[in-house]
Amino acid sequence: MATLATAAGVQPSSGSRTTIASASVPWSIYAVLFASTSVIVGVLWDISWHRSIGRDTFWTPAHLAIYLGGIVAGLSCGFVALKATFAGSQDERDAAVRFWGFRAPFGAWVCIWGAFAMVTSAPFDDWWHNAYGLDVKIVSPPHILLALGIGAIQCGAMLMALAWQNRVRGDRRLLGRLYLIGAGLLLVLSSTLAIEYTQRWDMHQANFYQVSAVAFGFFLISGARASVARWPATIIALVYMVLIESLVLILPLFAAQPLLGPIYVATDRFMPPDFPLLVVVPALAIDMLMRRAKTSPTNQWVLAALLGTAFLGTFLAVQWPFADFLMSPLARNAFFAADRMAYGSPPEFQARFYQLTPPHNLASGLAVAVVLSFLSARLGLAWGGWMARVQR
Amino acid sequence: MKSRSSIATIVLAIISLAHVGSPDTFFTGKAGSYDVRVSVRLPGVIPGRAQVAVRVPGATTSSGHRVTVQAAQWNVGLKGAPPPEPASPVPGDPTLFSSELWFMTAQPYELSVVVDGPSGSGSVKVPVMAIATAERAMTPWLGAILAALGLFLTVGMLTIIGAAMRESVLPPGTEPDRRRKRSGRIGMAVGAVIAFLALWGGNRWWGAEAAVYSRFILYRPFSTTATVNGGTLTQTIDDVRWTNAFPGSRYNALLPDHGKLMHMFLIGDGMNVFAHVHPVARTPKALDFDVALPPLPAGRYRVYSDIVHESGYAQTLINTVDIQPGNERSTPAPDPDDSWFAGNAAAETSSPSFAFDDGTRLVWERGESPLMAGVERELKLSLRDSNGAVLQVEPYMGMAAHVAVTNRDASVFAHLHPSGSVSMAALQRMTTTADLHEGHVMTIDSGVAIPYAFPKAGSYRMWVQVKRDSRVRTAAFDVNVQ
Repeated sequence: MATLATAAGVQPSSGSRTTIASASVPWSIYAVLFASTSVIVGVLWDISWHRSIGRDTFWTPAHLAIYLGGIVAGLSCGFVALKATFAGSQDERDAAVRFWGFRAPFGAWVCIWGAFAMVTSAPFDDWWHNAYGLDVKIVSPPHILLALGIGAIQCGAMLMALAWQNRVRGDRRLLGRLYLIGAGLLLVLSSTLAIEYTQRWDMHQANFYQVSAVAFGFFLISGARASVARWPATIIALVYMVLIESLVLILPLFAAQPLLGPIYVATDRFMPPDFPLLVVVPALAIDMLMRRAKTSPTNQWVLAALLGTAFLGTFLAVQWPFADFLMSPLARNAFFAADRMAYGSPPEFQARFYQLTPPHNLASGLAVAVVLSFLSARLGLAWGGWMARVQR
Repeated sequence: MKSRSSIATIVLAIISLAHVGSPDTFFTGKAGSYDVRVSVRLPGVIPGRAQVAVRVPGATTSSGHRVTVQAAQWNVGLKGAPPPEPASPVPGDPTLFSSELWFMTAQPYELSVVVDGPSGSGSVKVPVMAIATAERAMTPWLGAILAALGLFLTVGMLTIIGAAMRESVLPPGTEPDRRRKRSGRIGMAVGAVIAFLALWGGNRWWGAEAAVYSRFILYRPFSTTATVNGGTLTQTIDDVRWTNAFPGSRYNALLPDHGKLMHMFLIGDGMNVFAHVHPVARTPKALDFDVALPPLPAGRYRVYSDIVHESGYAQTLINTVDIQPGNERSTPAPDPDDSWFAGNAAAETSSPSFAFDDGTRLVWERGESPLMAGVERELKLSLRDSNGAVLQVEPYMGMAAHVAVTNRDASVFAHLHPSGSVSMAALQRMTTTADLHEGHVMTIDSGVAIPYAFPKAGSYRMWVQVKRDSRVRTAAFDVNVQ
């Protein structure tokens, strides 16, 4: 394990006071991981709500899940900060970073920032609706602020688990797993923000692979780089796929009736999200390449080129034919959910659900995707390398 | 964070359609055997929630009346509408039922109102134009709060970046050395540049979103020109939404309203001259409409032209024209339904009446209470003889009366009928009733009660047109709205 950790860039701490038994995972890490799960499940539920029912209030369960996550993250990290500042042990104070005279783990500050961003987005979003009408798309300025807050909470949760993983001497498997769950939840957010550009009918378009390289490549590679597990990227990808597929299976079990018009598709169930992208395959390739790099040190630029190419190549190899499958009658079932359309899908739009848009400027577009995949990998390595060294 | 304006939340865009500055819908009619009065107050923005009020005279707390409302987009229909919404009785007024309805698109809708009661079930369809008319600025206090939070978030983020660079990778208990502290400062500086770029980009994006709203969602009447050449006034529609309307657009072909493709109102000489004429499309594409000018005195005139599309989308085109001296001597061969009027209005009283030269009078039972902006009232109008008896009239383009309302600053114009503010052509399209002109030969009671709410305070003039003895009579009233 020590060899692996060193090769992965995790420097064992030299301070004897930082030796922590793996059994003593602090409650705050569970709290922020719960918050991270709550916000992202809330976001996916809310998207389903808008595609199934349409009409909402502040008090929908989906909104409550999002804000519960924000409250849990903000309050628990706020408590951690106050305790570390005013009543913390020397170890707690030593393992904190300073912020305007206060002390708390670095990840806790990121979570607190996220909670404030979420709080700020609420009146901003409310004003936005009053000024420009209820928004019917995911990407709007107040939603991006909310997404930044959610992302910060998820990132902070991951960093809190990561700092403990990096400090702990001994068995780090539990913390390593908690960190990977946090990284997987962050990947779910990234995939959600990219959703408008990763639709099924676009899976033979270069743009789909460009966006995927950025939305998935960076998080898989950075997450894997900082992990002490054997198959980190694969686990991160599986967290994403299992969570999304769980919602694919669970959400349609519940009745939902559209309450806004026009209603172009008669629906009576909650809309599932789209079937997850098959990123577990490029994730496996990333893990294999990074394991190989650990045993024979490789220049980071070369490694980034290999990872970027491997991500894109394997993803293209599986997702391209899988797109054909998703368009086929075989995918029109509860597991793949390729036969579900939101109530507001207008007739002129519905054919897209069963027909891939033919490739357009594929060669040049894929060349751009290669470059983006490489840059995404290189940034991922750099970010992951930094994360591997986070101690506080 | 950005504060758009220091002015309190205000509604900037006042123009609206089928009327000007008067976007709400007022309707009176019958749902089966029940008399109903329906008002739909739009939220100003789309998508948004409209307030729907249905008055069922005769309903009591124990009469068991139930009312539902349901809005269907014109090209989708009730099958694609959300389920009917129950309208709740308003406490203290058992005849009034209210509900909120979401309008998600800026399109014409048909509002289905169903009344269940002792006389069974009855329904009526009401055309509603869901349009966005409001551009709202941010209140100063909200702007200040968001700006403070935005500043806090930005400075907080920079501090976090600084802490990350300075301390996060140090083993616990280790103090950052000079190099680490410098890294922290560099990190904050780079972060500040990125934050500035993000805020700048966010601001641009916000501006772009606001521009899309203004350009594509906010109501704008067609771009048009009006010119006078000789004795002919020509209204030309040169708007790309009309000249290049895409298939399925709400800007589809024009629908005759009372048998006319366009109803044009000319208002001049400080509201003392009024004409209601009907230009005819010169080409089948209906880009240019010509009308022979009636003998109006020279001067500048406001021109309001009502058109209705087959979608039910009604709009009022707005122009001004200058009529040259000599026009008052013109002898056009007008459409027999064209009419004009020059003269003063009846003064304001609790029951103003406008006397015609044959001894008949147009009486407005206005009542003692002042007219309040935004408060719905019935405009009770009737043609009476010298003894005060209500007279019969001939339908004027299918209607017992046509009413036009405008205010002094030209920000409001509405064309009303006994059914209210709805477009009769749109109403006809929904209900597929027989041609209203079938009633031309018969006479009808001149007493009408038109539901309407003057949209804002100010000085208005109202013209009421009725037809009797094959002659259109126009009465004018001054209206002061508080």
